[in-house]
Amino acid sequence: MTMSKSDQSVHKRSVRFSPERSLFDQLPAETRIVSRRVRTAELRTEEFLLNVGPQHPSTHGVLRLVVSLDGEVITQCDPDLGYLHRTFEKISENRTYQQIVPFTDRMDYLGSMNANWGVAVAVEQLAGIEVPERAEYLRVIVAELNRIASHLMWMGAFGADVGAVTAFLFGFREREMVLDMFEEICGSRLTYGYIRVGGVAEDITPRFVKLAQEFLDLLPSKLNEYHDLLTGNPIFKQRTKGVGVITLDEAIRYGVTGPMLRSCGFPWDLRKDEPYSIYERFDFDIPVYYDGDCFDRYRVRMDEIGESAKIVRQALEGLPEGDFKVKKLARNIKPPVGDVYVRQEAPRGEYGVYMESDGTIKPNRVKYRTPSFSNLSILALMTVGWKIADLVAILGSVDIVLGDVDR
Amino acid sequence: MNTMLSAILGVLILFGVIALQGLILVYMERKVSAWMQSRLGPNRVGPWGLLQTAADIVKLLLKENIRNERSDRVIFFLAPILAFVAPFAAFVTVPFAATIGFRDLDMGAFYVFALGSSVVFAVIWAGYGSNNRYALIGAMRSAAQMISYEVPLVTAVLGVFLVAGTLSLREIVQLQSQGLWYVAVQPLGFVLFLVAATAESNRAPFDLPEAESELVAGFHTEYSGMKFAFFYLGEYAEMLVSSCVLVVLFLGGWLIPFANNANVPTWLHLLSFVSKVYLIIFLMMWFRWTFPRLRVDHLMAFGWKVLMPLALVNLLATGLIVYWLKS
Amino acid sequence: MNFQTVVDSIKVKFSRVDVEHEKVIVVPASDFLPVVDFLRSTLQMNVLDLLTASDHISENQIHMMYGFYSYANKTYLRIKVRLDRKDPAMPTLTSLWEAANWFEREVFDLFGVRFEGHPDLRRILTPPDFEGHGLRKDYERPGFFVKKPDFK
Repeated sequence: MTMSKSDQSVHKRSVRFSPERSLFDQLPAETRIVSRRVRTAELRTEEFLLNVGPQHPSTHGVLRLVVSLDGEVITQCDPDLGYLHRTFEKISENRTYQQIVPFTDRMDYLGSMNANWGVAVAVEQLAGIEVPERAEYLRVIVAELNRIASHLMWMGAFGADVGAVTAFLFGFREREMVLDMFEEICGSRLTYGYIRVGGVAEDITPRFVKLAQEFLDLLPSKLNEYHDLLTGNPIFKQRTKGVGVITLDEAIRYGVTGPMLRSCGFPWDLRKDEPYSIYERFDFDIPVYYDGDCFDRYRVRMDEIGESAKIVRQALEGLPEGDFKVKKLARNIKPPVGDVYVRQEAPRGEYGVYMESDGTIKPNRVKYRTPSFSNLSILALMTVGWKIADLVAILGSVDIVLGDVDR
Repeated sequence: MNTMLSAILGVLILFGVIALQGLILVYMERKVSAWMQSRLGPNRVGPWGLLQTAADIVKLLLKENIRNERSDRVIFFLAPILAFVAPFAAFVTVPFAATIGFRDLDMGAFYVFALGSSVVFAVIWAGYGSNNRYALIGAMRSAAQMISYEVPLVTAVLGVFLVAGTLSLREIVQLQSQGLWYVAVQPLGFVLFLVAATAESNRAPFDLPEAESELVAGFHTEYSGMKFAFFYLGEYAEMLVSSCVLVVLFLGGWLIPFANNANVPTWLHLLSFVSKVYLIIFLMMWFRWTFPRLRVDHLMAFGWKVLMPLALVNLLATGLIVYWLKS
Repeated sequence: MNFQTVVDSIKVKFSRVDVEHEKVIVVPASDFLPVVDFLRSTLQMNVLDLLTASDHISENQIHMMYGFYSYANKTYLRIKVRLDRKDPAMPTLTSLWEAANWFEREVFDLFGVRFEGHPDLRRILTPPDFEGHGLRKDYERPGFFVKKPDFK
């Protein structure tokens, strides 16, 4: 297949602002002559192309944005993805079903537990594996703790994006406690691989329970601290309120899910509306706000931290005795021919795993429908007309993980 | 010849003192930010990490100087020098204590503000000369910001000059020793000056020209090594000079509160001055590590629509009261 | 509204639709747009949730897989469209859902399916000068350093 013309357009555009050409050279010839004669009245203004990323402190990884500016106002924004494309879908086709799980850690590396879970459930549904009840509870506990950690990390990064660096450290401080817990149960702090096909890797320890209780007791006071630092701050409000507004209709048309959808006034959460696993046993609320701006996205996530904490507390109380994984599991699972699509509510939105089995020990096709990818697609719409400083705030409020976008 | 020699010696001493202050301030900034963010801060190099900044300077000295191919060689070279020299030169007229200070100029305050505004040239040069789009945006922002905060800054202190009737910094302090400090006479002017001075020295929440999360490093994106260090040092020197001027104009300079200042040894006066200056600097650091950054249009709106009218009201009220008292 | 009633109401209008298993219906490519339009207008399936493909080299086919969802009725329906492996083409859904834009670009990038009428059909995950389509089963990795990278 040859490269079509449109294939190259991003590429071509990048030539326009190569460092070898100074700004002056880029002005049309007649403008140059005019400016030499200092007839400023005839000087024209020009669109200013800014290449944000792939190396930039606020693109949260290796995202490149080709931004056209009129002064400081964005007139066009074209995201250029793929810098972190590690072909996980292709790799998954060449691994056995159990071997896929660790790759999903590297996709959404801030919500690895949720990423593991989706794949595990997809394989279990394909092969018809029943998971013990205790394993389901453990899965819920770690997934919700991971959601808290992910939102804390997001809050810190978002604070840093709008210039409040201290929030960054505050978010990390409490996230550290969650990581300690995960380290306790699976020895790993970022790529857990804890939720596996047929259950979880290890049973939890008494120390984990103790750490979790301490964390849950501490969290409300810390949440108040964040609200003191950010939520009530007039500058923070000024930077985020009414910025990057999307309507509910736009959100649905762009396939936006998760906290971004809930900030548009639509209380949609798969955990509540299409309960999977054992979520219908827990009592929790879906935070919803109605303005669809950066501030509401922030508030949805901050409220979700509290709700997740509620779920973890209930799950720890109701944790039944029993096995934490299926006792006998084939070394190589051979599910029957068929396909399955599993949807779950990850910290960033709806995480889907589409898996196709051809009856062998390896899947024929695995597709990860990642929330960051869909949520990022609305960025161009959200940023046009806003200032370059808002671009950073809006991009931060989307909560993307580039590993999740590019896979 | 003798005066020439003493002048050179004085400049050298001043440079030494300011450079040392720069090192201390960087260390202090790190420790204060660490304290506010519940971190430890530098603690490896030397006792309590005291030598960390010295090690940084050594590192910066050894670094290669990189220049963009199409950058403007002369302007690129001059910008960091001006960025440091301008605030440095402003120290000449600052009275550190009753008998310590270099030159007592009749137009001292005017001289300080004139030098303070010339830093904007350095920023624009850096942005224009480095042939980088982030630097250019940073420089444009900076030009707009510094000019629009210069006006309320100077208007805010005009009240002090009206009350004092002089532009000499030393005389202003001496006048404060006879009565109230001007912070009590001009409270609004004090607040306005503090805010505008923070903006003037490009400190957060007004650090738009070098907004890290948006513009990478703003106008000094392309600078490395010692040139970068000069910008860095210049920023702290500017912070230092604004705090010094603030202390002199509003907080009674070297005067010690509730004490008979006539028969206090000079070193105590110096200590009082330095501690006041550091108090103000601590305040600025506190701002930086707790506030998010303003957006550029909010910043301009705040400067022109809030600070400027308040400064004008302050000036008018002061003028009327002074006129009424005198007549 | 459960899956069966959805399928029944589709089958009344479109006779060539088959049910594959209890989540998926198979629609011929020529009927695809009318079916989607029917889903969207009559059955309130207002979300395009999934758009992907899979390569079935033994059948010499590429299967498009679409997932539609209705927030109102909470029904999920997947549609499979079988395409010829040689020069596969589909009508675009970008006029109905903006979400289709990036999904279709991804499928174009990795499977080489053309989406007719797509406003901006270019590669999204692989570089613009990438050759071949990575997720096809017969894609062969060119090996390292066969071609000098072109950094212009």
